[in-house]
Amino acid sequence: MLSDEEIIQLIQKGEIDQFQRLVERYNQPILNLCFRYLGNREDAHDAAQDIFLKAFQHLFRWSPRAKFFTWLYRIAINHCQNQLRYRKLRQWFSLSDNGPFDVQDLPDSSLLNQSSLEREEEEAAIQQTLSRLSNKDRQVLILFYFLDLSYQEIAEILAISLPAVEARLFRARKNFAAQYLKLMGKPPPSK
Amino acid sequence: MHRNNNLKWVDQLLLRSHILPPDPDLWQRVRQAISEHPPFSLWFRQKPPMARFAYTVAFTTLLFLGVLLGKALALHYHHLPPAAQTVEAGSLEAYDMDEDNRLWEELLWPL
Repeated sequence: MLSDEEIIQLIQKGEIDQFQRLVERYNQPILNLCFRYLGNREDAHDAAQDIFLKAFQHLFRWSPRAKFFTWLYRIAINHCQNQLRYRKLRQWFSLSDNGPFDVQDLPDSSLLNQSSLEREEEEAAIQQTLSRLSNKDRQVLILFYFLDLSYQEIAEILAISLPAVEARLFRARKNFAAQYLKLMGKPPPSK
Repeated sequence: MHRNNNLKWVDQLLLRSHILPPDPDLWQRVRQAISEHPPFSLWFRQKPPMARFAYTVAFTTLLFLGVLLGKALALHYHHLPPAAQTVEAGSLEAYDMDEDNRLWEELLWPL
């Protein structure tokens, strides 16, 4: 299997369809990162497309100083943060009070049994809690829990040291717990 | 992973959280977006050699003319007396036409 860097070299030589390999390789993590940042599937799908387009447009100037995935995740995080800023600005101008989490993403509750309804409520609570956290807390939680990255990889993406990742993750978990309990009143049942 | 028993439920909650499946149409949409907004380097690389040469010549000429115009404006405004830079009636008396002509000739010598 070709490495990311080998694929990029082929693309830089003009084989642009090789980019499909990279899109397929990072499709799911980028989509999940966007979903956790933006809170709804439609925005996440649009953002994932924009991120890959942005990556492709800058790929011809990419040099292998950094790993491709750290560069791609950095683009994704910046893109999602910008989207959240635009959203806040739009909300301010439109005077509407829609939160980042879209309840339409939840399946119809009449079609769900009790346990899947609980799961969906839990998902909604997780998403709302994430949206209330600071950007620093949110990004480290998303990278660690939803993208399953190691401390080392997170340190490379965020350009911080390993102890800083540990400290940031510890603080983020504490803040997440506090916000979740504020929202739900109690911790979730352990399963 | 950081272990703190009081926060263990956070680990469990987040680790059992829903993960979206990959988007099967993503590549098609990205491919279409790339063809609609190709990066400049790719757009240029895909042109035939003569077109690339023509674009290069056109760009260089425009750049040369732009620099020339910039220089002309800079010289012109720099050498005018302050009063002549404003469009006030009567203030142009101090304007030295010969000096300005000489500067223009100096500037346009390559043409």
